[in-house]
Amino acid sequence: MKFSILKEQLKTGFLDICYIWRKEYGAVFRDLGALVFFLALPFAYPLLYALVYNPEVVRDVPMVVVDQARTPLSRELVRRMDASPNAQVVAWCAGLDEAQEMMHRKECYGIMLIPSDFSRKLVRGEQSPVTFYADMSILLNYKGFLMALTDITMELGAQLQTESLGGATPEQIEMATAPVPYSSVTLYNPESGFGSFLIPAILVLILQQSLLLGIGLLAGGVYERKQLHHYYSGRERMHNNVLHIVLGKSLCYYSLYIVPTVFILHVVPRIFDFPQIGSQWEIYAFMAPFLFASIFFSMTCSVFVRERESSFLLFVFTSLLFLFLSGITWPRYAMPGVWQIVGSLLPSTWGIQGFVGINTAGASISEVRPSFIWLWGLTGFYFVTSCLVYRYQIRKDRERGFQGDDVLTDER
Amino acid sequence: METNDSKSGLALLRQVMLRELHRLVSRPLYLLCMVAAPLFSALFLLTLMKNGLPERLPAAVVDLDRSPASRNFIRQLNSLSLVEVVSQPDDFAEARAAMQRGEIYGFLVIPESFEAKATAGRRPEISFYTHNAYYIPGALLYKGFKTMSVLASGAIVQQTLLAHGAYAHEITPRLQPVVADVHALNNPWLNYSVYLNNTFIPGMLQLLILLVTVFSIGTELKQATSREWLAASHHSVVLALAGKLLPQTVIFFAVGVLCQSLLYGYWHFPLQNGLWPMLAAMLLLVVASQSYAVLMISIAPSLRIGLSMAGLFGIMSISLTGFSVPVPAMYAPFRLFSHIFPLRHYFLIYADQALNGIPLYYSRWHYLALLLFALVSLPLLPRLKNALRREVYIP
Repeated sequence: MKFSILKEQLKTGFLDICYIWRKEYGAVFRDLGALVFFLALPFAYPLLYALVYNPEVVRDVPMVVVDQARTPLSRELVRRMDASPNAQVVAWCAGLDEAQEMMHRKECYGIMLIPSDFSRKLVRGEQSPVTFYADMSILLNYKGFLMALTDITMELGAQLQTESLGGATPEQIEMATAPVPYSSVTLYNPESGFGSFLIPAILVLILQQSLLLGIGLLAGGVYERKQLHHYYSGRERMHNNVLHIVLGKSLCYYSLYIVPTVFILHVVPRIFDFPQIGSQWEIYAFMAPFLFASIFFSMTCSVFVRERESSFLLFVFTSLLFLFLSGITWPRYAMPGVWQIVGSLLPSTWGIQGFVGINTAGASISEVRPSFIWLWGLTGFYFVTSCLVYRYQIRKDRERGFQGDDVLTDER
Repeated sequence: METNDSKSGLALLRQVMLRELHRLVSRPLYLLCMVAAPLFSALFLLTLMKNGLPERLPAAVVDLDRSPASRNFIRQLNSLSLVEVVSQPDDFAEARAAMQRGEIYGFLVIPESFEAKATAGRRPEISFYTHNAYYIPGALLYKGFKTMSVLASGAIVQQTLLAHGAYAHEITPRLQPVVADVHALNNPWLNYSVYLNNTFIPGMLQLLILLVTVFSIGTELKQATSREWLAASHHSVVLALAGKLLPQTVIFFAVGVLCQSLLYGYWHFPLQNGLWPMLAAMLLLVVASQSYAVLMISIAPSLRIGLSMAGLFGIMSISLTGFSVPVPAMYAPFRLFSHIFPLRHYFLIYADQALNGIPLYYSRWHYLALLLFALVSLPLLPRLKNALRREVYIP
């Protein structure tokens, strides 16, 4: 007997969830604003961002040379610098003043000054410095110059050492110049591209932020139109109806996000050839708790939205903060403690860490276990807060007296 | 209406401004987005990067030799301020797994019989791997690993030369005949916070200015108060906008200056040409952003579409300003587009005036551009006026 009652209860509960689920589809598809957030934004933003960052690397940054030595050796140095992919010599200046003027006019971002005693010092067996002035407004330019310069001075140095040895065998030369050779491998982002590093994080963040904006917009609409009673009046026989509301709504959003997720996490990296070495199914398995956590997080945050459009004001700027909190640019361990804690409460942080691990670095889910567990933990946490928030709002709504009379119910 | 007729323009302006001030304090949303959000973001970013560069990056060393020489090498690597050797996995696979788990940002492999080969002149090869999906940690670790590898070679050459009877002063020139002396102009600490926040914080402010301005105008349409607003300014859309936006200009400028005082006052970031050029740039950035917002709501007099445009523009302008990926490296359409972003001109002014301290003359076009942006909304004002008269809200 008892079993059949339980079965009956489960059945009503399930039907009630489905009822809310269906109702929420109606709300979403009747609302152009929500559709833009749920469907247009996840398609447009990734393409736009990918196009901006697709060139990946900075090549041939303009620089000028002030060659006071004017010797074959100094010209050789300049030639090699020009030949490097990172820099391009755009002019030879007579003096530093002229070079500086060019830098002020942003015609170059670096000045190489070869002193007049450059070759003399080398011949004398002294160390011969070359001075380089780099503009620091754009760090990528500086980085390129620095790498080129380091490699070229070492190369030229090795060549000079070789010449001084005179008649040595190649083995002897190698032993004398580089007794401990080294090789380096930049893993997971072979050309050290800016896009390959930033885009995966942005892709994941777009999923969360579009949910945050869209759910906020819907909640704002419900609040300002005083439509909350649609969700509780006439359903009094449900004792735990808040649970059903939250579950039903989240299932609606979740099902809507399947296609955008596949597009963002699979198609976009493929179109632009961003690193993608992980298993696609593991990514989807990993993204399941991420989507749920993001949905419940958004539903919780939506309590602050009292008007459809204030969703923009409250949530758009957070995207930039969440990106930094994820630790993709500034590593998490180097953050002050309080920001580490705030960061770990955001689904995007773990979503990005895990996605970069699986997609870019080819890890399996078990290797990104901490992120996966955090996401399930956050799913549970924000599910509870969503229920509390909805219960609070419904209680407030009842107190205000929107009892859901028939006239209001039929307004739409 | 009739009382308005008798009022002078100044009195009308005062009336609209008072009306706007009442509106601004009537909802916590305004002050939250105009004051709290930008200041919080600025403090967040500045405290996040307060060390300038991440130090002691977690790294691993796979020591296949386990000799005194290899241990010495690890000790020296660990003594670099950049690197912290957190683990010594047994083999490559284990180290790579640690990297995939995100525990370390790179590792270095010391080959078997490293010491024996090095002393016998059989050139053992050190190899290192960096996790470049994390850009900054990857690049910094690469630098640390490379430095140590070069130094390891140097130490052996030095010993050989000493054994051959070379004088100590001869050794350095032999090791490194040509040396690059790189001057990182005006940011010798390579402080990432200086580089990023000088543009990023004004970028966040710009985003919020765009959103709040569009919201404050669009909401008049939504609440059906736009006719009353126009009436308060005696049906002059210029007066109506001036009265509405001036109080906001003052607040945003004050917040912007507060952000600048954090950057240049509290955190002592480079400010070569004094405060005035930057204050002027901030004021122009505020006004230019407001003007862009007016333009957006004039083009699409719908609160939601206007805000979508503001959000898109504000977010993309941070990428297209070209302080992360420089503009010449972008695709041609973006290169062209970058000129219309107020933040780009603010960034170039900052680079000239605050960072590099070059004469004001070189920044003239950027000030002029910002000034032009401030006027760009004027041609479409009649369209906005029509929309305000119609008072239609599109959800």
